[in-house]
This record gives sequence, structure tokens and C-alpha cells, in this order.
Amino acid sequence: MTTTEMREPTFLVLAALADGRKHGYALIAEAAELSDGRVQLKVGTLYAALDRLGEQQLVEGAGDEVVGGRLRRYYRLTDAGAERLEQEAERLASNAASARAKLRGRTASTAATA
Amino acid sequence: MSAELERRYRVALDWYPSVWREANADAMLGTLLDEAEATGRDRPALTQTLNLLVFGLRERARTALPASVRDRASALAWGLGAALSAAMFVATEWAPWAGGDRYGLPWKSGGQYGLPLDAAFGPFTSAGAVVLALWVAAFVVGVAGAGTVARWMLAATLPASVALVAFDSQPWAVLRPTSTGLFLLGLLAVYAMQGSPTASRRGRAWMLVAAIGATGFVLPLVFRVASWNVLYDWWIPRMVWGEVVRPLPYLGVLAGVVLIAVIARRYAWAGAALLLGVAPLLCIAAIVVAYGEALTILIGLGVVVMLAILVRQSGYRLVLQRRDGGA
Repeated sequence: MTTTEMREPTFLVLAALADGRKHGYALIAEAAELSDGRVQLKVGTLYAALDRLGEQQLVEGAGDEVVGGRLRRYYRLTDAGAERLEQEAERLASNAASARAKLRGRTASTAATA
Repeated sequence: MSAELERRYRVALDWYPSVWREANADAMLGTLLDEAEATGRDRPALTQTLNLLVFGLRERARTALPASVRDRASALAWGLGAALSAAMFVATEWAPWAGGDRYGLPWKSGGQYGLPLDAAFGPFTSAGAVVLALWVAAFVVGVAGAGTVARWMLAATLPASVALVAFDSQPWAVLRPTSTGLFLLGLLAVYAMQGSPTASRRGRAWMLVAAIGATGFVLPLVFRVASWNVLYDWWIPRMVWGEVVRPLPYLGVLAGVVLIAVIARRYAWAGAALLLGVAPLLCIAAIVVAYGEALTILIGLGVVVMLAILVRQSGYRLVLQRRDGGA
């Protein structure tokens, strides 16, 4: 299967699940925290992403609980999901490192011409 | 938490098909109520409701048609829409062969129809140039792999087209292509946006091949318009439209594509061609029923809304599978 670039909400959902199972709203809150409040997932978006990730076997259901009369469905990362998250994190880190190296080069050349 | 809030969320969740609701509605409702509680909300936010509408309808489309058919129909729509837009742009909006002074443009020469001199849109015939250019640019961006940007660009063509038609009768309005042409491009844009061929290399290759094939279909039209030894006037876009989607040749091409796909056992392509075929068929039907501009749009939109309601009510699922035993 060819690996396509992962969109940020998908990345944040996988990252939010990295340290254990979580239910819907906990995922929304965690994604907001991970992105410093920049990404506020809507419920429709979240469940579409979870459905797609489930089809790709990157996440799976981890039980239902009823709390205060509300159903909370939990999700967890599969091994394949953890591996995919690792790959994406490495890709992003590599891009960030390349960008930083370029910026260092720019700073050095600016200092030399000053 | 009020029962009214829960009721309103349940109504919003009705946009999802029944199969989905049975599996997920309670969990989604729990999440919506958790979120409302955490943010101190006592009525659904408009953005949340719109989000449920969009994803609910998308899920209905997914339920009714498998992704393989939708992605192929989307790729075909991208290709056809881009080729059609490019042809219309060159043949009717730009028309370089018309010369620097737009040979014969009645509104440039104060001509026979008494149109104002400034009715043309800059160097182009009408403001339709914006919609057509946006379509072609969206295709290029999509083929380059930036699917989200491409979809937003395509989405922007929809309000632009509606505005062109809606403000048509205003004294300051600019000229525009026929409403039927804009309607077809609008339908193709919706088709293109409902799949995601831009996400994979194979999907983008389908888009390119579809565009090349469709260009072969519309290119004779450009040459034909260029060869017309007539004064360039307002009815040429209408003639172009008549050239592109005459019912019989169109149905012939559609039937041929479906037949070839079925013989080759490419059932997903057959489904995609049939699905795509509905869009021009709606336009043709609208033209046949009432050869009028505003009426054409209204009838077409009415048919689309009825189809949408049917999809909402039915939740049927089309499943494509190979027969066992290699028969």
C-alpha cells in the first residue's frame, strides 16, 4: 500500500491515542492541547477520521461505557497505527530539521555579508 | 444538560444514514453533549451543525456508493470539467482569433444589439472567464497533489456561478456564459469534490487521462468556433453549449464507455461513468423541458434536491463484488 501524506487532524488523533485509549471528547480536547488550541476538531470530522482509521486498521474500538447516561466509546491505537504514527513523526521531524539547517545557513550568510 | 439540546443534536445527526446512526449515533451524541458541557453550551453551535450536515451527507454518499466508484467518477468529473472549462475559455471568453479589437464584438463596437461598450469583462467576453479559469487552475493544483486547495478552489466556483446568474438583471451586471453551462460545471464540481483521486498518484493519473480524453472530445469544438466566419456575438456561447451536449451524441458516448467497461469487467468504471452521466443528463432534461435560462436552473436544482432527498430517505447501498469461480 502506498503511504500518502497524513493530514494534521488525522496525525493529532493518532498522537492523542499514543498513550492509551480515549473516548470522543477526550480526543477532541487532546488534539486541541497538542496543537496549542489551533486545531478544534468538530465531532463529524472526528468520527469520519476514526471510521477511516478503523478501515485502515490503524485504530480499533476499545469498549463502550455509559457515564451519566451518555455513551462513551473508547478507541486505541493498533500496532500498525503506532508504526504509522512513528513514520509520520519521523517525516515531520526530518522536515523540521532540514528547515532549521537552511535557516542556520541563512543566518550565517547574512552575518558574513553584514 | 437540557433535553432540548439532545433533541436538536439528534435532529442534526439525522443527516447520517440509518446504518451509520445505528452504529455510531449514541457515541457521537455522547461526544457532542460532553463537548457542550465542557464549553457551557446550551444550544448547538452553527459550525457543529454544519459539520454534521456535511459529514452526514458525505456518509450517505459513501453508503450509497462504494469509494471505488466515487473516486473514479470524481476523476472523470475533474477531467471533463477542466477540459470543458479550458475549451469554453479559449473558444468563447478569450477567442484570440477575434483580434485585438474583438472583431465584430457588438458591445465593443456599439453593435447591433445595443449592448453597452463596457459589457465585456476586461480582455474577455464575460465574467464567466473567472469561473472557467478557476476550474482549470483547480485541476492543475489537484494534479500537482494539493487536493484540499484544489477542492476549495472548485468550491469557490459555485458561489461565483450563482452570483453571475443571480445578478444577471442588475444594470451593473457583466455578461456571463449560459446558465446551463454554468450549471453543468457546478454539477461537475460537486462530483469532483465528493471523491479524493487527488490523494493518490493513481487517482491523479486518472484525472490526467480523463482530461486528455475529454480534450479530444471538445477540441473539435474549439476549431469549429474558430473557423466560423461570423460576427462574434452573444449567442456563440449558446452554440458552443449546443455542440458539447447534444443529447444523442452524448448518450452514445456514455453508453459506449459503460459498455466497454462492462465487457472489460471494470464494473467500478461502469458505475462511475453512469454516475457522471447523470449530470449532463439533468442539463439536457432541463433544456428539453423548458428552454429558458432561469427556469433551466430551477428545474435542474429541483431534480438535484429531489435526488438528494431520495438518497437521504433510502440509504441503499450498492455493493460491487466479483463473481466467484472466475466466471
